[in-house]
Amino acid sequence: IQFILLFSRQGKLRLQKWYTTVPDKERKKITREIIQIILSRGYRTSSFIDWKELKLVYKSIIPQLVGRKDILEISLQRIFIKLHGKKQRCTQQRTLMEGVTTRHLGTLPLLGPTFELDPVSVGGTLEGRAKVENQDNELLTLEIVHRYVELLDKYFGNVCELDIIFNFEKAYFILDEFIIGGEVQETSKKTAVKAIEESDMLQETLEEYMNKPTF
Amino acid sequence: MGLLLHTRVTLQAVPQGTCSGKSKEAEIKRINKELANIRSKFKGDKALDGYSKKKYVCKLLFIFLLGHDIDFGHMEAVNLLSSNRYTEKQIGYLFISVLVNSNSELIRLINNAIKNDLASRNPTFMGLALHCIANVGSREMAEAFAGEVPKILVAGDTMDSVKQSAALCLLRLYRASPDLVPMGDWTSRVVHLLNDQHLGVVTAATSLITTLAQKNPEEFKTSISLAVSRLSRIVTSASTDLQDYTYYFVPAPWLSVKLLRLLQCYPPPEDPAVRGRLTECLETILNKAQEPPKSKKVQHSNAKNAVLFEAISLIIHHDSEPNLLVRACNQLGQFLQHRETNLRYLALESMCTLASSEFSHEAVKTHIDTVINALKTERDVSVRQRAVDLLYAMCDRSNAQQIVAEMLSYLETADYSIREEIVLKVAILAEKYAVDYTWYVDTILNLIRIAGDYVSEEVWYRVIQIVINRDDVQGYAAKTALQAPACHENLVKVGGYILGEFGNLIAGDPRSSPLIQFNLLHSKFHLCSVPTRALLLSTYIKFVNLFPEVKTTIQDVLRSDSQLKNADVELQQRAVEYLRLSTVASTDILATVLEEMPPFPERESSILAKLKKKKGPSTVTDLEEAKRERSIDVNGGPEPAPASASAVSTPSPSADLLGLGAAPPVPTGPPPSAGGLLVDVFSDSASAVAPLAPGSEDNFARFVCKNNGVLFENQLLQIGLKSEFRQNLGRMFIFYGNKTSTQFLNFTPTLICADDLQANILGSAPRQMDKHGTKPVDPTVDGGAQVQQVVNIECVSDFMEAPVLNIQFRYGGTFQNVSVKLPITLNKFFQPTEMASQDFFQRWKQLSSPQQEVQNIFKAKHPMDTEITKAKIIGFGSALLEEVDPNPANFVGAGIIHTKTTQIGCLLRLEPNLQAQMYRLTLRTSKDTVSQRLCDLLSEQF
Repeated sequence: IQFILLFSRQGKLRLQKWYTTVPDKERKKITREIIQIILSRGYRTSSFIDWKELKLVYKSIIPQLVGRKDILEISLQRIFIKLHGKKQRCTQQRTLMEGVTTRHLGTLPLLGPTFELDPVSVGGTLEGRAKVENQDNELLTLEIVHRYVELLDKYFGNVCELDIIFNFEKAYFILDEFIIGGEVQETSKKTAVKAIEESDMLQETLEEYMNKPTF
Repeated sequence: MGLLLHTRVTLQAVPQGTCSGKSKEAEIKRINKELANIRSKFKGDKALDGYSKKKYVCKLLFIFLLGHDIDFGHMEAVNLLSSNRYTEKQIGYLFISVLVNSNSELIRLINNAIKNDLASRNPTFMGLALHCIANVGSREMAEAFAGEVPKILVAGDTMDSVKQSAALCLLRLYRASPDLVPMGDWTSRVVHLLNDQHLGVVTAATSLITTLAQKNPEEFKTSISLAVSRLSRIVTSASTDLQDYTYYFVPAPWLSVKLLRLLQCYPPPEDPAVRGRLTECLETILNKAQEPPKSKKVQHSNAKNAVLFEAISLIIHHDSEPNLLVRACNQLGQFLQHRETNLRYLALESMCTLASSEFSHEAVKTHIDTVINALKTERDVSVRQRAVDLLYAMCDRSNAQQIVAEMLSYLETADYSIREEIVLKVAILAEKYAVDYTWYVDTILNLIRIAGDYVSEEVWYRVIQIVINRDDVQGYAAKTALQAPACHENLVKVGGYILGEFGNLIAGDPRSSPLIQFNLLHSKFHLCSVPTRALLLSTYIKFVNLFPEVKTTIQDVLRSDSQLKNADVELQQRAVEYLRLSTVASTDILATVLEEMPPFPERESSILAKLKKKKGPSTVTDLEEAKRERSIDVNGGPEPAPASASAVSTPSPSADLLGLGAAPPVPTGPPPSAGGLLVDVFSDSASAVAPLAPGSEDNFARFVCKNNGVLFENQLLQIGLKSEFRQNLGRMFIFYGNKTSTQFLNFTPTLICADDLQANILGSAPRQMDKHGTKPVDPTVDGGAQVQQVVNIECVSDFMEAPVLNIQFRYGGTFQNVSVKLPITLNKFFQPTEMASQDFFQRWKQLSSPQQEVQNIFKAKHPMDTEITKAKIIGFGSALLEEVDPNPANFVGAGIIHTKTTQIGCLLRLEPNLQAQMYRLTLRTSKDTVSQRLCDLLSEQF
């Protein structure tokens, strides 16, 4: 895997992770082009796109939401207003909202497709490397996206776009537990999330400690 | 709590501007305000505590991820790294991996912090540090930690999670800078991680081993049997055995795929037991595909099929079990009609590789109708593209006409992005499988008509090469070119060139009389670009030669202001020269100069090279080939003759622009013995051959590193050479110059060569005159004249002896008999190979058996000049590899000798010793005789 991008259907980039060294300018250009290509894909197309020397593997996380954008917009708005930045309250609020409107919308109310891609470097590394190395298995790459969303789900308890916006650092930490250097490190859901939860525990203890008045 | 809340609220306020639909300006204003606030906090007199630092660094990161530039805060982030608090450290590392680029000045501070964390023995800290190294992955990181990470990986007391991170971190460093990761005794211990209890560790280790094994297969060979037994245990386990590593009822799909990928680094296992176990695994995987799904979820089928596709890749890679290959093909055949687009796409892609196996090629062909249907009905361009690829791969003589027709008809509606590739593919298939060359010509002209804009230069060059090389199709091509209704510029080029060469073949028909041909071409002239016009001008002058009756018409055209005073220098020059040529030259000279183009040597199609370039990494040689081809073809000028005239000096007193002036007509007549002759050394004619001419050995040695020049000269005769070689084929032009003023009679050159080098004497010089092979043969060479002979050479296997050229003729009543060695040496069939230092040494190591190496130490015969030596090594044919030998004074080269039967990899190393004026030359090739021969040849050069 060369990089992972997560963006909304409006084309807003929410998370990006690069596993090869690409200059910043180039990254922006690639991202722009790719978002445009993916968003313009029609329905019932395959999840793979040959793009330059790369193969893009992408997955729309809630395709069934298209056409129900209005409902979602309203729900998001509502979460937004009530959101006070605390994880628990955010979740509570959403559970409430789900009861009303989006129970049937599927479990992953994250807007837009996620995708990532595969072989070879952008801009050409050593010749000959291209063919054998890094040619990931397409279907499993697709499942990596799914598994990542599952991990986010397990941690946030039903992830939504706002979770990723406000807790972006957690999204990155979870990704690091799952994938390093473009290769899957840990496929077990329990183990991957456990590491983050442990660190959260640590954080909460610390914060409690910090806020105790010192004498 | 209060503080925390504050962070969240402020962060939240930032996107508010975006979300609530306010203008972009409002967002920027809000962010600038926030940035100013943070900056003042960082610059403030009061030292910030760790918690506030973390808060502000996190905000900066957030703003950066929103797409705004951040130019401060790096120092504060680096400070966070040395915090003892996990969350502060974590944010610090996140900032570093997202925002710090490798050449930052902070890298030393960062490395220091990482070093401390790695040494901390705290698994969470070590994990963070390893993630950071992997995320940045720069060369500086590799320099600092490539020694340390392997130690952590194999240390007995390292926690599992740290091992996982260390394995993948090392993998990242190895990919970025392989030269900095030292192999060592840790490698064997890494292999044994495949046996680890913890599946997460095995997963991470397998990725690392696969990548390392690709570069160092020998060192990781023991991983084969371990991988097979691990795979076997997974494949046969019940779906619940692996607990959390089961993914939607599929046991450890990621690990299975990685193990199958690792096995693809190697040929089938040699140990029959291991091999049997692997075959069992693969059969089980294929069997499982037929079982009813355990879940309706797409995740289940994806994971299951991922393993299946990987297993099929391994079967194709081994290409040794016909039974498995056919089963794989049938399985893919089922997927071709699956309702999941992804599966259809992957099945097409996978079948493409299957088509190249001899065991399954026929089985793949049975799906042709499905694939053609996919081309017509698939909605997704990615899938259609795969269908085109597969049709190309499954094409052979039996279905070529159908496939080419389908591709052509698809081309009319194909997506613009893939048209050029389809054009190349059609052109290659049409050429490769053409039985009937009229079909070929029709196909290509159709191709230009349908997709002229996508037809690259290479395609139309190739048509012309083929038409010129095949007598049987020339007339047809001329007729078709004339009749082609559409007038895409590429068609004008092809038409112009072909009519210029072969227009005479159809001139008898009143519907294609010379004047009609000319008018048709000229009617397009003003619509064309400069290069095409230049080509057409060459056609016109060829017409002057072919059809004297249109000469005046053409001269009028050339004389017109739009030509003679054309703003373009090339056009102007051509017009002036051609006009002059048509006025001053006699018909004989015109015929000589404007002779039909000689056949092109057979070589790899330039289109193929282009497709390779498009589809994947191409070698340097391909590029060179394309360039060379272009330079030969594009000139489109009618003259190999002037070139040859300058190559060997003619005694004509006033050679003007084209060497015309007083040059007497070149006599005709190929020597009686020289028509497509293949002579071998043992034939009885050998008795009549003279001993080698004195001094010819010296001359011979001079040609080892070059291709053109004068080979032999005495008072009567001069022999010049021009040659070119490509893979195992070559073509040599031999020019015989009569230095006297008297005719040579019975001029008979004969070539004597061994079986392993075939040299056919193709035509001989007089071909210039008997354009259509009608004039009688006349073995005389007039005084002061020069004749040319073409020798086609094929290297069958490696050889020692160069062929001998024997020339016999009568001069003024005396019989002359001269023999010279023709400088066709083994090194002429070199293809240079560029490679990196490590590849070179790896190959060097592989060729270490005593017979493969030949070494020679010798005294320098010429001044020891670096540049000259370099030029000689390149002239010898091998690539000159820079920065390979640790000693910069040494020279290192690599290349492949091509023979008809094999290709022989060659490495060479030349070590000069200036003080002693000596050289040491070492050659290593995969064949002992080749090492010896090349060493002998090259030693003579310095």
